Parts: sequence; C-alpha cells; structure tokens
Amino acid sequence: MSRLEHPVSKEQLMAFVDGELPEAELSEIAEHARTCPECAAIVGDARRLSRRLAEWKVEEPAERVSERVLEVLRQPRRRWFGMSPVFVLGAAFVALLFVFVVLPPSLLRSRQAAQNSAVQEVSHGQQGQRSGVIGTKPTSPMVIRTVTLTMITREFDTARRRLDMIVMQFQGYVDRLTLTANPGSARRLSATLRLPAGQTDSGLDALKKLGQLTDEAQSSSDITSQYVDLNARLVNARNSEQRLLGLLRDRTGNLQDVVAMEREIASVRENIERMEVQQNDLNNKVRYSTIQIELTEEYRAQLEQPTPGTGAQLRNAFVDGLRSAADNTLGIAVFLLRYGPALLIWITCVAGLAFVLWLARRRVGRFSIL
Amino acid sequence: MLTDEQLMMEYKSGKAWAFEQLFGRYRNSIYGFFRRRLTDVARAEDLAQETFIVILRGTERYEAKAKFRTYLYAVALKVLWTERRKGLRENRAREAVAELSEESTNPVASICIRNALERLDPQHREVLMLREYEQLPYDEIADVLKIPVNTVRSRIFRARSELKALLETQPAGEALR
Repeated sequence: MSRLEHPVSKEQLMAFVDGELPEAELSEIAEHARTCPECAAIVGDARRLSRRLAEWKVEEPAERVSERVLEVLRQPRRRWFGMSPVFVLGAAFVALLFVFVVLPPSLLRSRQAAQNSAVQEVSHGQQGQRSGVIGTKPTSPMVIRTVTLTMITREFDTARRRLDMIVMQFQGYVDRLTLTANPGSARRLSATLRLPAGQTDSGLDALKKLGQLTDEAQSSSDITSQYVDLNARLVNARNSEQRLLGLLRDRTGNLQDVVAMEREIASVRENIERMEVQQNDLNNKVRYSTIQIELTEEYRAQLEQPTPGTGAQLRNAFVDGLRSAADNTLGIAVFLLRYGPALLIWITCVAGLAFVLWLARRRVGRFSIL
Repeated sequence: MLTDEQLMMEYKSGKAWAFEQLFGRYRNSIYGFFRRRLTDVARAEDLAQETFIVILRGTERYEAKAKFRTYLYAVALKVLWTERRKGLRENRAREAVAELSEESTNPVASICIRNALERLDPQHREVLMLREYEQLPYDEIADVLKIPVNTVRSRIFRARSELKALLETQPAGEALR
C-alpha cells in the first residue's frame, strides 16, 4: 500500500499506540484507524503485545539494595568543588610534578642568582659605606678561589692569541703576563688572569684547551668571617668619626683641645680609608677568581741551524780577541783604580813589618858573636 | 509534590531526604531494568545499587537542564554495558533460564516473552524494552540512547513486528527451554 493510498505510516501508528502524537495528529490517526481495518489491526496487535509484555513482572528488590544505597547516602558528601575526582587527581599529579621536577632547577637558578646578587649587594654596600651608609652583611659565603694551571703546547703562538680571546670572552682581565723567548730554548709564558667568579669554571674549561695540561691545583679560601669582622670595624670607625665630628661641632674648648680632637679625627679617618681599601681588595678577590697559568712551548732541537763560514769565524775570533783584550785592560785598570790604594797601604804595612823583622834578626846575630 | 529535578537540586544543596524520596520513586524501576536484562538476581541487585551510588557520587556533575529520569537510565545503561563487556571478557557462561519471580502471575508467559526478546535485534530490543517496561517517552529514549527520535519510532515498529512474529511461532515447549 502506497503513501498516497494510505496516509498514515506504521511508525505513526506506533506513536499513536504509545500516546506520543500531538493532539491534532492524534485525532486524525484515531479517525483513520477506525475506518482502516489494516491500521486497526496493527494498532490492536501493538496493544495486545504491550499487554503481553506487561505480564513479565519482576519481584521487588531485596532490602540489601536499599541498605547499601542509604548507607552511602548517610556518609558525609565528598565535595570536589564541582570537579570530577579524576580531574582532582590529575591536578594533584601535575602539582607534584611541578614541585619535584620543575621547581628544583628553578630554585637552584634563583639560589645562584641570589649568590650573584649577594656579591653585587656587597659591592653596592661598599659604595654606600663611602657615603656614610652602614654596610650590609654578606648573605652568602665569600670565597676566594685560586687555580694554577701548568701546560705544554706545540702551537705556542696560537695559544697566546687564544689566551687573550678567552680573557676577553669571559670579561676578565690579565693581571700579569711574562713571556720568555730565549734563542735555542723553549718559549715560556707565565700569566695571572682574573676571571669573574661566576664564569671561572667555563673559563677554566676553555683555558685547558690551550695545550696539554701537566699540572692543576685549585684552592678556595672562605673569608666570610674576616669580611664580617672588617665590616663591623668599619662601621664602628665611621660611628666614632661621626661622634668626634659632632663633638667638634657642638663643644667649645681651648685651641689645644680642638687640635687634639682634629688629630684624633684624622687618625680615625685614616683607619677608615685603610679598611675600605682592604674591603675593596677582598671584594675584588671574591668577585674575580685568580688563575695562574704557566704555558711552555714544547721544545724541539733545531738540527738545521746555519753554520757561519771560515772568514766569518776568523773575523769573529779577531773581534772577540780585541774585545777580550780591551775588556781585560779595562778590567785591570778598573781593578787597580778600585783596589790600588788599599793594596798600596797593605804592601807598605807588610814591607815595613818585614823590614823590622830583618833588622831584629841582624841584631840577635850580632849579640851571639859577643 | 516536588519533581525529580527539584528533589535532585535539593539533595545537591545538602538535603539527604530529597535523595531518599528519589530512591523510593525509582528503586523498583531500576531493579526491574537490570532484572529483565540479566539472568542473575544478585547481580541485578548489585547493579541497581551501583547505579544509585554512581548518581550519589556524581551529584556535583548533575545539572537541572537534563531530566533526572533520562540521566538515571543513561547511567543505568552505562552500568549495564560495562557489566556486559566485563562478562564478555571473562567469558562467563550464560544461564539458560532466568530465575523467575515467585510473584510472577504467569511464569510460562514470562519465559516466552524473555526468550522472544532475547532473539530480537539488540538495538530494537533495547528501544522496545525502554518503552514497554521503563515507560520512557520517545524523546527520552532518544536522549538515553543518543539516537534521533525518528530512529526510535522506526525501531519500535520493527521490534514489535519481529516480536509478534516470534511469539506467534514460538511453541509452548520451547518457551520452557
């Protein structure tokens, strides 16, 4: 049966049976079902089937179903603030991950930064002290680091150039540098470098590549207590100076007292300046590590040294002879001039003594004849 | 009388009595839902409990936009599907005949119906059972199963046609098999 012949679909009939149709459609299909035996049969079958299905009844649930549910119902509610427990667990995991994995490196970095800033703070504090501000205590240990490197290199010239570049790269400076280059012997470079404390390790790595390392020594000296002590003495000295200046300004006295006061102030000022120099020196030593480097060229005997000709050798011998004669003559003249007067006195004394002894011997011999 | 949704919101705001009322309204229906779909009575009881406990623990996620009944049967279906998957994994032997209630007025008829329903296409069977036993309207069946309403209509028609044919051809002796 086509749609045109049969205006109601079987699905509509099902909806009609189940009461799922809107009012308007419901009356229309009810009317059709009354007149159409085929649709009436479908509707009747569906209703009978529903009634038959309804025959399958189930018993009531056992009490234990209620007991368990009511038990859970009476438990205190776990509120997750609208979040699912999975989300909460996930958030907790991420938090733990952050605490144990992400945070430690950043803490280390911040600690490093704190150390660097402590050094800067000391430096700034020192500047402040000059203007009368009380200095700050160091917030981290103050360590002076010294490293000694002994190395041999084949490429001495290259190593020399790279040494300068390394110093420049790490923003350090050359404190002392000695280069010895004697003909026929290996060249030798001895230098004291100063590199910023934070970059010492990187600088050392670069320096060790200049040649073959034969000896390395590192030492560290903690000067925190020394620095704190110096700082305290400096603060006290400044306070004393301020008190003395106050006394000088406020109190009146005779000229002798004023002169004594000014002498005392000058003495305190001298102490302050000496301590400031020491403080500067300590700061500098802490901020810059000292690296002493001994670089020796690997010595290779020169087999192909040029030999001079015979004429040149004779000429050299003649010149050397003349120079030697001149040197000897000059040497004797210098000797005589330098020691001649003293020799003359000594010779006169010795000769006089010998003459006296000779006279005495002659006289003894004469008596024995008598 | 408060609606299901109002009771659920009351419970959400901390009033336990509201959920007790809801539980009273749906306890038998949910047990019947599982009882007709599983052969093991104890398991049906366990799953009915579990459904309500899931609802209790997921109260914070419930929003009044959804009908409580739709939400409840959607949860029940999820619990049922999980149970069936678990059964397939464990390759549990199916019991041939369900334990029928002593209160059943007509045990033979009940077995006939259960056997016939078992033979239906699972998709058709689920729609029909939700309609006939849980008395869900078409739109709620569509929501619970996440299918269009027209699909619900067509499946119901096919399920009824198939079931009628099965019941007509089923001999009385086979019903007791």
